[in-house]
Amino acid sequence: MIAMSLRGVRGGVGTSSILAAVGHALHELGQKVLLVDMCPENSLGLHFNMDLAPREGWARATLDQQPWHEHAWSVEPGLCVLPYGQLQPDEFIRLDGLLLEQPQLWSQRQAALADAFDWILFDLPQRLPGHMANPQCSISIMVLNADAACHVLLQPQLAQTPLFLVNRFDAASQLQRDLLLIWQHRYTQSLVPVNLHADEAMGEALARSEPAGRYAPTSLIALDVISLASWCLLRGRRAE
Amino acid sequence: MIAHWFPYTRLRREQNCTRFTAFSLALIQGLGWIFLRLESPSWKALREQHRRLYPHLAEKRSSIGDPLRYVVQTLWLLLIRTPNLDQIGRQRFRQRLGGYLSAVLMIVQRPWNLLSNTFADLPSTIRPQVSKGSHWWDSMRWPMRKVLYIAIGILALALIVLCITEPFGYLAQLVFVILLWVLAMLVRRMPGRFPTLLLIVLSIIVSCRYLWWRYTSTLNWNDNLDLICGLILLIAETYSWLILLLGYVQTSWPLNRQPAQLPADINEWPVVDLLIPTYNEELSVTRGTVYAALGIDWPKDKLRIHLLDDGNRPSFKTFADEVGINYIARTDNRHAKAGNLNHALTLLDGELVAIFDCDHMPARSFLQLTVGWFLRDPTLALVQTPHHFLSPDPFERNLGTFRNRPNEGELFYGLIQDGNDMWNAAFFCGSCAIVRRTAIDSIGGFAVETVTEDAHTALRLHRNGWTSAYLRIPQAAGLATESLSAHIGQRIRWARGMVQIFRTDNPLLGKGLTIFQRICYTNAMMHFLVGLPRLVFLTAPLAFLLFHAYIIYAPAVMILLYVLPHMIHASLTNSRMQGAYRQTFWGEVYETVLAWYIARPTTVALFSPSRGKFNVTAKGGMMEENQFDWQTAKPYLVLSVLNVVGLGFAIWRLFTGPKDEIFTVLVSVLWVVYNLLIIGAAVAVAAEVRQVRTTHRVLARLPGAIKLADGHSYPCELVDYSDGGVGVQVSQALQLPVGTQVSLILQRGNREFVFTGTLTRSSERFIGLSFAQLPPEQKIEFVQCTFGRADAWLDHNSGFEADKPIQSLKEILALGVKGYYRLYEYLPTWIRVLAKPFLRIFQWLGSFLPRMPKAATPLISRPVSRS
Repeated sequence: MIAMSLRGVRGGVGTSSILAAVGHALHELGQKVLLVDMCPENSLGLHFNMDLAPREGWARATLDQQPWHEHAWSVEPGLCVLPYGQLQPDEFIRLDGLLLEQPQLWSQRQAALADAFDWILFDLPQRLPGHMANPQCSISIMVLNADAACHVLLQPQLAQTPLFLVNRFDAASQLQRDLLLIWQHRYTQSLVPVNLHADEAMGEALARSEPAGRYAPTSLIALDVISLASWCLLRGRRAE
Repeated sequence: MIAHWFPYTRLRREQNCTRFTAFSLALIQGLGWIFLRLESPSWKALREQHRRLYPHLAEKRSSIGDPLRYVVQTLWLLLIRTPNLDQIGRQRFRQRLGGYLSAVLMIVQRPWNLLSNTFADLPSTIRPQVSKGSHWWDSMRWPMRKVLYIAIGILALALIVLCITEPFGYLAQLVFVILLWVLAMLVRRMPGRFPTLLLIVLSIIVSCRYLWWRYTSTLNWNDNLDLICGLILLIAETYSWLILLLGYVQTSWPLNRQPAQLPADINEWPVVDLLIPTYNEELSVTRGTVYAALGIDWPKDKLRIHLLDDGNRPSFKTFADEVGINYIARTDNRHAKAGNLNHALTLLDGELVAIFDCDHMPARSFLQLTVGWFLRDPTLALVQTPHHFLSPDPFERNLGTFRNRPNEGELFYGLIQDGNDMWNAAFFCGSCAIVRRTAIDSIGGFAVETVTEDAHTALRLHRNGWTSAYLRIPQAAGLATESLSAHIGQRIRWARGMVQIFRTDNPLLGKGLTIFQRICYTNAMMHFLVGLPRLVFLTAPLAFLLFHAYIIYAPAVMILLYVLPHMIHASLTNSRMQGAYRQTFWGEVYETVLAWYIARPTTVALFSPSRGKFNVTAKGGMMEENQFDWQTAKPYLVLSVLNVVGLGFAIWRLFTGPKDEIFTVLVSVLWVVYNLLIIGAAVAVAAEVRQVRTTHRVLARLPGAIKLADGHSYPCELVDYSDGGVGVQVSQALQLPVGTQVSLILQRGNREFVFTGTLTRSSERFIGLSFAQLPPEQKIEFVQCTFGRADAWLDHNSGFEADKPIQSLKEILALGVKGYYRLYEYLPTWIRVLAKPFLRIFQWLGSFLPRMPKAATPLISRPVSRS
């Protein structure tokens, strides 16, 4: 079992969409995949045609001291989504404290899931240190867009996240090309060698409540995501 | 046959038959239905096979002769080729026959295979012994070894001299040549270079023996005509023999040099001046080269690009300023290209000088691959890389061999230069090369005395103790000459220039060269004297047929016993050495086309080397329609007429001549027919195939993506590109109207570039884009993503088929036939009008001939390339 987490360097860079697409692509490549929503927005299920913000989820269950694993949804055999569940702001701050107190919580759960899944993908939130630190991941990726804000935000983050991935890359933009060139030059080791291109199909996929690879299998973004998934497989095998 | 009782109206309406024809055919068919029970299953089965059994009648309009044709074909099918009656039985018979044959063959085949497999494995089986032996040899003392070397040498020399000079009778000669041939066939199977050397030795022995025999026993000293004709042929043969031997030495051990590593510290990399000389070429051709040069991977402050415009054209100056390169022009244009380069050198001070003709686009890796050797070897003056052509040369275009056969230059750049490099004799070819500035200065600049300044410069460098290197990695691509006449013009210049150097600065004389360098240079120059000898070979049998001159004064059988082994061994050896770069017998066609045209200038240059001027080769153009280059083909038409006359004489001699000459006449006829077909192949080249594109499409398989205006992107494969557009294959069919804006995303290394173009063609998954409107900086990027890629030309030989001498011979002969057919197609109308009735009669008579039960394949099925 390989655990992988995705987190945006800031909000709105397309992290959840990528996570859904990569999960789907890994599943297409014959892997058993569990996607875990770690964000209180509780919206990961949208990518798999589930209701927006289902009441039940692992966070809800953890707080209520219910069995957390009963709330996972099976999208297809071998592809499951575990929602966050509806929590009030004070509740998820309390949960974050809990997670900080029990740093082993998710690694124990991961160990319990090891036989059932090949991959567990975590969609990490922005500002909840407990949520962010709890899952023990062998691959942690930070998602960026090639813009100046990300470039600025990237610097202090480098020490914590060893890998970062460029999303919505548009080679027609001189700025984006230049930024990518700088990053390729400076962070050769950290940059995931697959760039995800800007593609209208990605946005349309969410509007249709599908992962991109299922909505538009011949699109460029689908190919990019397959490449990323293949890279993950190689990287995961090395990590194992 | 039509399944109707009385198909009169049908025949009248659908086939447009006359009343009489329709009535007769319908009557015959009606009678058939009445008396033969055509509705029965067996007739039905036969009717179903109609198309297969009567292939020539299936598509044809019915005519009155058809019943006779059916009868003939039926009889033929029933009596001679019995296809459906007992196909199985015939197959069985064939199998049985094949079985017997293979059983007989097996008796020979099995030991032969065993033997040849043993030979093929020999190098690995005897490795331990060999290494032990070489240890023992190394442990010996030098004087002892020296004595042994000399002894072995003398012994081998004595044996070779014996083999060459010993006169044999028929039987002895037969046994001798068969033994050598068997040995060659066995050695041929062994891998590695040593067997190649063995094959060379065998070929040299056989050829020397042939020549010795020709000199000692085939000249008729008693008849003046015989003697003169015989001597002319003998001189031509001696020339070929010499070229063969020199060629063996030159290419026996190709060096296969690898690029040398550059130092990690970029500060140690030298400053390079990249010169692009131009005189009257169009700006559109030059642009691509400049863009590609701007994309070369080299520190920006250490690469200076200069456009040397000898035409002094304002448009070139504007362009140079636009893209930010240096523009150099001069007031006169003395000494053409060499003068242009020398003038530029006075203004420059870089350590290295790279030279690209204005139509050779360099790859981005050119400097990184070549400069390493200059740093490693301080005496190195020159690194040359191959001239690769992205468009078909006239041979390839007119014969349809582009990308599937090695072209004319392939032998030189694939093998000969690599062989030269072994002997430190790789020479400068005027473009796609890089030279050391101090070396050029030490010989006083580029040589200006001859019209081939490049080879002469290299010769001077070698004489002054500098070395040269050749890297067989295509690092630039250019346009081939557009027409046959331009191609011939270029070769005439080379031929004249090389012969000029041979006269004025003979590589055999003078100081500073090693013996092997002398050989390599001499061969390169002598090679261009091929014109006269080739013409002699093309006309030699006529001397006997027309004038009854015994050019080879020996019995015909003896001639065959001597000349065939000489040719076979040369072909076997060359096929092994050069097969990947030139297929057997193709050289004959190339030489034949050039023979007439280089014969005169080379002879003139040989006697008066100062005459001759520099002509620029025209490249990259259009040919509006198919046409026949009568002007160029004229000498070959004359030669073929002469040979046809020779054939007529041969028939006359066969019937009226003395009985003991019949075999000689037959051998001469064979020779004449071979000559006719080779000339036919040369004629085929003169039938110029239309060339409509101004820009040439390069086939490729590159990953890319397209982006539409609505934001959707799709992966695609770039299947061809030119400087004006691309063709891509998209992963899914997109219904896009012509004129849509489409962006193409291409990668170069790990960088991406986007080019927005207009959709010009769309069919299924294929999309054609035009990039006519790209801004200049985008054009640079586009050239760098396509023509300038480091691996752009590396797989140019992937489509070549392996050389098989027999197959190759068949192709050339078929090409000869095709040449005459093409000639007929281009004949003036009045001749064709005159010839038509005869052809009609032949065709009509031929239509009665029975056919094979399945469609016959055409002689050459390969389509003529249109690009």
